[in-house]
Amino acid sequence: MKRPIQYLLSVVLTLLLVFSAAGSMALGILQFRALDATTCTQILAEKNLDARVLENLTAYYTEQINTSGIPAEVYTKSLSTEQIKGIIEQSIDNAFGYLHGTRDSVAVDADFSLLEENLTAFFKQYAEENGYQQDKAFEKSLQTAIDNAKTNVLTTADVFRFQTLYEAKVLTKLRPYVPWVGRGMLICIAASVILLALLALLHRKELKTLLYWAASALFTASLLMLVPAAVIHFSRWFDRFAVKADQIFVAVTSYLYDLTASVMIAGSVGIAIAIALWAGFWLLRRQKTV
Amino acid sequence: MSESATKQSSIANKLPWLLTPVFLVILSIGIAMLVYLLMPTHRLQNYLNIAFMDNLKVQSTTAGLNIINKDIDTNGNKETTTVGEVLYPHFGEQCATLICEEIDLTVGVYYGTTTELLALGACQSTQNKVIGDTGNVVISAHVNTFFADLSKMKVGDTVTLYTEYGIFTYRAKEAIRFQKTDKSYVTNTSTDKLTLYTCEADILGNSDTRIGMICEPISKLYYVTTEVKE
Repeated sequence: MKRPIQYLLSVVLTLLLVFSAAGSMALGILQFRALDATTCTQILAEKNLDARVLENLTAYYTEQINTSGIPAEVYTKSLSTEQIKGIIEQSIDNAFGYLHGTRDSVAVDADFSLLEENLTAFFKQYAEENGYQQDKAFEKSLQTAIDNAKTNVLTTADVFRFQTLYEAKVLTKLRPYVPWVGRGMLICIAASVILLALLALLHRKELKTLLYWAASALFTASLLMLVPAAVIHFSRWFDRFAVKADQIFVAVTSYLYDLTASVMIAGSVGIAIAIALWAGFWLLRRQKTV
Repeated sequence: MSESATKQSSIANKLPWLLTPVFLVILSIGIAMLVYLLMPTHRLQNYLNIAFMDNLKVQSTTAGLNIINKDIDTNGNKETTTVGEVLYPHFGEQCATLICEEIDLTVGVYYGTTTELLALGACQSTQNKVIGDTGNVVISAHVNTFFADLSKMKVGDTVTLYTEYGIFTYRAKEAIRFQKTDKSYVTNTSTDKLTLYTCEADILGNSDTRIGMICEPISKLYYVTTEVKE
């Protein structure tokens, strides 16, 4: 470091390399983890979200007996964890399909024939027992009950809040940027390669110095990613989300903690590689000195 | 060159190599912070609020609700007078016991109308007069539970409200039927009356129609307190 201009240029190039490396890592995690439906389906399986949804629906229908007069069993015997799981999986696939531009809507098309059948049977039995005429008003009440039940199941099973985000136009606003995540990642990687080449050119007479600058950039980039992610992760920052429904809270926070864990892993690997590169540099330097 | 001088020179040579990463980290954090401050993060916060902050959207009726059950005397053995003062109940407090012998109805009345209170008994609307006050006293309950037989109440039946401060007796005057959007029966009036209502027992599902009974006061008796005696 005897030539100030070379040093200054190295610092500037390394600084740029820090952000291109951090960008590559962040966009890579976004592309392969955050925007991948598999992340959500893994959480669905690990956290038993289908069972939680069914539990929530049972509690809801039990509470609603006083106002609706329909016993909770009419609903609960019409629903199963397999069916709920299918609805959640479909909502995940549809949401990511919408984000990736392969679908135009996040709407879920589920089979509620058993629910319709059981509600109709219960209404008819009730009408017969209580002497109600099964006229248009009866049909309207029945249809309203079926529609409400379907909407309620779909809303409760929307554990990642994709429908809410879609209705709030959040997904619509994100959609145009999604293809740019992969492209952005490639641009960042290309920029990193170019910056490394420039550093190599700058230190062509003593190429081992490249190891030092690359390690410094990687270490800084990894630290920038690791520290905030670790603070968020270990302080359980997302637990402060005020989501009332247990299944939604678990799904959303698990997804976000999965991302912070991925960032921490990427950051830790980056730091380990940086230390190895530094060690290599010091060893080569020592060999020369000796 | 002495050994210590060589050592010092070696440290001096190594120092820039050691300090450069620290400098890079500080500089990068500074740049990152600057970018963060310049980014419109408040918009992200808005989106987070829309999706994940339920407490900003709907206030839980359970939050802060202090349900107080009371053993209200329904014997009517205490000394009474026609003039007295009402005691304003707290939200969630049982303020009365409603009895209508003709339809075999005895139910606790809670001050306030929430899902939790409706599960416990009849609910008195806080937007109307409290029991014993002059005006419209409005009480409602679920049709599947406490007011299941309200539709059986006939004109002329007697409804008695026992409170901690008196006994208020009404006579059923007019059966009513109205849409849930029609507020004319549940608004305050200058005339003294008791309005009881529930959902119409529609064929299941939540009915949009309400049925009930308007009752006129027969007697308003307030318990004689120590202060009144003195």
